[in-house]
Amino acid sequence: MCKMNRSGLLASARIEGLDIHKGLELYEGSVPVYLEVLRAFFIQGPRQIATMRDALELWDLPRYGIEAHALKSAARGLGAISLGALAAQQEAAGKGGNEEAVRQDAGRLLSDYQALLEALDASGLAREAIDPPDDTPVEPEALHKQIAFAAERAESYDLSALEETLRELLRHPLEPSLSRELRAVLDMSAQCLYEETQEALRALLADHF
Amino acid sequence: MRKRIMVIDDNLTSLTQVKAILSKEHDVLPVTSGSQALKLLHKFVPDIILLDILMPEMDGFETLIALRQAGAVCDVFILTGAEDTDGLREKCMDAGAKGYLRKPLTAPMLLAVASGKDFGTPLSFESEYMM
Repeated sequence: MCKMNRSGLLASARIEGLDIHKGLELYEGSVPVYLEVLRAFFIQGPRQIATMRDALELWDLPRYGIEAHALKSAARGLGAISLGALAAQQEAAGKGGNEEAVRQDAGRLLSDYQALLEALDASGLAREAIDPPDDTPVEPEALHKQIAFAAERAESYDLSALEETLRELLRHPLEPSLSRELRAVLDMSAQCLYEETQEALRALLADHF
Repeated sequence: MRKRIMVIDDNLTSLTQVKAILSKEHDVLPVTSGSQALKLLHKFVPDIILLDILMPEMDGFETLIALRQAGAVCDVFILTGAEDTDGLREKCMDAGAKGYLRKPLTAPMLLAVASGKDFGTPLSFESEYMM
């Protein structure tokens, strides 16, 4: 899906519980920045829901409060105002040990969170942004060189160059397995898993070249 | 001038906000915990650290102290929610943080901090978009 389509998609998107206009205002109207934030929210969601459920099962209210705090900031940073407000309420309840308030609204918080993630998925807005495809094949030597460059940038923690190089490669026709691996590397980097990113690129160079 | 900025926050969405806003003009390394920051401190020597207060395991104050002990001498700015969290913000300021930014973070406040301008007094950025 190209960036232009995603901008158009954003302009026409209607997602319950998400004030896109308000979210965009936080980033001075920058659609690429807002979409990157949406994607991070989407990637993080399942793991955070699992952590919150674990905290509730163990009835670890301080931990639940910290997770609700993180969700509050994330939701507000998107323009998900009502989710942010409910998370703020649950943060206070968790931190204050207000068991009744947690019992009453924790389920609603998790289901509203899940519903927003599903709506984002259905809208297509949370998918990785790759520029319009380029049908020109990449010669094996150039491919090797670009992946080696990405690996070297990963070792130097130069994330912009790393991600830009991988996104550029992904515009071109590649073997499906290589394409999947490069997308996985992008996701690792987006989740701050730097050792795994470096390791995956080293393995990719060893396996494919 | 291009700066190296480490952002420490357990929240991936907040980290991505900062990275997306600042990475055109600066080298940004988002990390998800104080322990990851300590591990990477000497591999990515930052000019500025943006540090969330409320995190599981090591909170912002503990992280700030540990970073200083590990040799970080750069400016540290605290990222905080609307409510002060158990006086941690004040403790961080007393421990030498240069200022704080109240979430939700916005492009103008992040760019102002990254500019490295000497504002003379500790910074306190309040978002216009409190919701």
